[in-house]
Amino acid sequence: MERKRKYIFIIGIDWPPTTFIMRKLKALTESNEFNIIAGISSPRKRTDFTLKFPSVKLVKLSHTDDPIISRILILFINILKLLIKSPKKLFQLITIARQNSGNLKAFFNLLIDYSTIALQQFDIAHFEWAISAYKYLPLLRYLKKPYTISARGRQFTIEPLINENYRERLKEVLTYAKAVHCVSKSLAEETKKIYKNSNTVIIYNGVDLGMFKCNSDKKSRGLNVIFIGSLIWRKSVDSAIYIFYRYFKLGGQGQMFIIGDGEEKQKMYSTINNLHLSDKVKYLGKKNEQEVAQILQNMDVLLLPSFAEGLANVILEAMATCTVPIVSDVHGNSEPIIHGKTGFLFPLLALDKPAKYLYHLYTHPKTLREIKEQARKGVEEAFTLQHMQEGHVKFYERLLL
Amino acid sequence: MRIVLYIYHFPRFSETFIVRHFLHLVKNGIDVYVIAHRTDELPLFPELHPYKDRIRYLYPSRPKLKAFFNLLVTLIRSTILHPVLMFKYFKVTIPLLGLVNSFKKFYLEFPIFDIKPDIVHFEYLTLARDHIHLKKVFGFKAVTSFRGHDVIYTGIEDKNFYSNTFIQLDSVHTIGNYLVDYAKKFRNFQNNVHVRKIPPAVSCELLELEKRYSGSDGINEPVKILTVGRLHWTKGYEYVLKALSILKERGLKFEYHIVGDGPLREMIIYLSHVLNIKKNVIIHGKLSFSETIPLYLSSDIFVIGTLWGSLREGFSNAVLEAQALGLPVVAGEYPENVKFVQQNKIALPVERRNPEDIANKLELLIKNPSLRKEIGLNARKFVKEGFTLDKQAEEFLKLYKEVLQDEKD
Repeated sequence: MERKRKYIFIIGIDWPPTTFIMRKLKALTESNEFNIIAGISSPRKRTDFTLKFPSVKLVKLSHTDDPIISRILILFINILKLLIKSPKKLFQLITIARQNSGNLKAFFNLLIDYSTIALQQFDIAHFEWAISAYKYLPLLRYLKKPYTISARGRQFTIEPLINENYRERLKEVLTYAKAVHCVSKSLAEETKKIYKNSNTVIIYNGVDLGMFKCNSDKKSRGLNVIFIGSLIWRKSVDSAIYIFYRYFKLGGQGQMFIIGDGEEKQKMYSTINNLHLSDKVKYLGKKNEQEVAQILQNMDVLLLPSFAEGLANVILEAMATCTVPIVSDVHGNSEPIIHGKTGFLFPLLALDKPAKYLYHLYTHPKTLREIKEQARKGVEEAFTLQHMQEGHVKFYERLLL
Repeated sequence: MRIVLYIYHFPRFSETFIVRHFLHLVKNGIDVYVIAHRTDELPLFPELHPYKDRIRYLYPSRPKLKAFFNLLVTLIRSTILHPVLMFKYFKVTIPLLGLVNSFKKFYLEFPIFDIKPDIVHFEYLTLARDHIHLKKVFGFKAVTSFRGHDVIYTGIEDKNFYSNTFIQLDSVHTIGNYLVDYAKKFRNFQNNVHVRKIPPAVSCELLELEKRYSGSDGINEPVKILTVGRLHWTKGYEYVLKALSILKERGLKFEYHIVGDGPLREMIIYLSHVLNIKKNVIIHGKLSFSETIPLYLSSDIFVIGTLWGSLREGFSNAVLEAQALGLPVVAGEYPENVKFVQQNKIALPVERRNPEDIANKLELLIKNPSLRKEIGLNARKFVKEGFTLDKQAEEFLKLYKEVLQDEKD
């Protein structure tokens, strides 16, 4: 007899969701064990409601950019439904929303979300961005619903260090979470530093090996080096360009490419100009996943001198395309890399070392070839889509079935 | 000679050099006005109060209803007082900006109608770019200042970002040749524009303050290291912090004081944690100049990771102030000037973005109190000889006279 599917309510995502959430949804719904309710928090005008997914129900949550009329209408309908179903619940929700909002506007938006969520039938809630769970804690406690969270990037690596208030809130979220999905061992450690009894489960992100392939025909003089990432301080594109400059000073040859966008774009341009690298460093702008996969096939080295990372997906994608990662040894970056065998690691901001690694690869083509092959194998062993999807299904099976 | 100094906001602590420039011109009998947005810092500059009538504030653009009412008033007023200029203004701006934007611009630029200057000095190149069309209406001479950020990175994606501005300028004031070289190479700046190099300057009063040099050597007593500067990517804080973590690994004791605020505050706090120097780093936030002076006087070394600037040409106001107060400075320098800086012992130049090099130079100073004093005193002399406000003011007067003289010739 077929088992009744359990309902997971993923609260606070964009629609269409980012690639890794999309893959997770696919894995969970294809397992025939789970149905998903996607709680969309992106603004209405940026939401694509025509994108449907089998076994996924879309529920729109409030956003301050949404037209006020539509928000009033949603609240009105929700109130009517709750009045018919359970007036007591409605009054309880109003009380909780009032207690947890500082002003009328916040109360209004919170009541929309609370009433929308309370009208759904679900077995467990999940928050892809842990801190967003904080505002729903009173509601989930009242509804007696368990929840899980995902631990990703700066929410665990940076914010708790710079903001004590944030750290306290995160600790409260962790205290009541039934389980915490971490994208790396390092993030699991960071999680336990904040709340030591956290039930952490590591599920690495996976790469689509069909899309991210090696290109054995690639031939070029010198190394093709690439930086991929947002142009923001924690990715440090400036350091990446400087490493390439040092490599060049050592006598290396080749070209550098930069993919990404962000507030440090002007810094990137001025660094390229100041180091007189305009003819050697090319900025390619922002690219989608397929374009990145294609470009990576023609690269030799990924250079990523980030200051903080959960575990950068681009490292896995690069390794899958036989591109050697040379990355800063911060948080989870070291987990897919065996130093010297499948890539290279260097201490934060120790910029002479990666320049020397680059030069070593340039002067030792055989080593370069070997590391490229090993990098691909490293991903095949533990970081495929299948690994990731199985991980997510098991995560919920353990909690719900 | 009637001069307008066109500025974004006035007065501001972070731009006291403009306040000083204005005061110096007024006190030398120049008919000078400032056009800028209002700031709430005016009460903190009592020396400006006698000249309030020379500061013309732009009308606020919000609340919109008030702005609309003000626009009507300015239209009526200028129709009565400046009908010809107003006609010329719209004749120039409507083809350039369109009807609606032309009216919006008129509202923001209205204060200049009452002044009718001979020279407008746009204190930033970006301001010149936004308002250079006024030159066609009023027929003034246009001067602009080249400062770091507007030349080095604003609009850098487009090589022609300033092209239209450059061809209309009568003169350019630059704080260093490196900016002119950069503009020529990357900003399409033409050789035929008149350029005058006038470095930044410090008040002579600073040179009279006495600094006591400590004997701290970083082994028994911690050395006090200081940076004064906005917490912005241009300042290269990450490389300085890494250098300090290297010093800590080498067993040296130090305190690192940062005066400034800005978008990279979180980066600095984060890096201080992960580089294990959290206890050594003290961020004071934004301080007034008078509040900063005791920090300059009690510090042993001034370090700055700024990604451009020249020690030889007068690096920046904060660095010059540090030097004027006798602090030895560790900062980047262009290769062609390194020899000069080293020979004259006015600072310790480092390779930009190179934490190891920054750490080595800092260590050298930490371990040698006598070298700190020697470089500090040399730097003070260097500033006294070439970077005082009096000298700068004379240079500006020469520049303005030259610009007007060109017209007569």
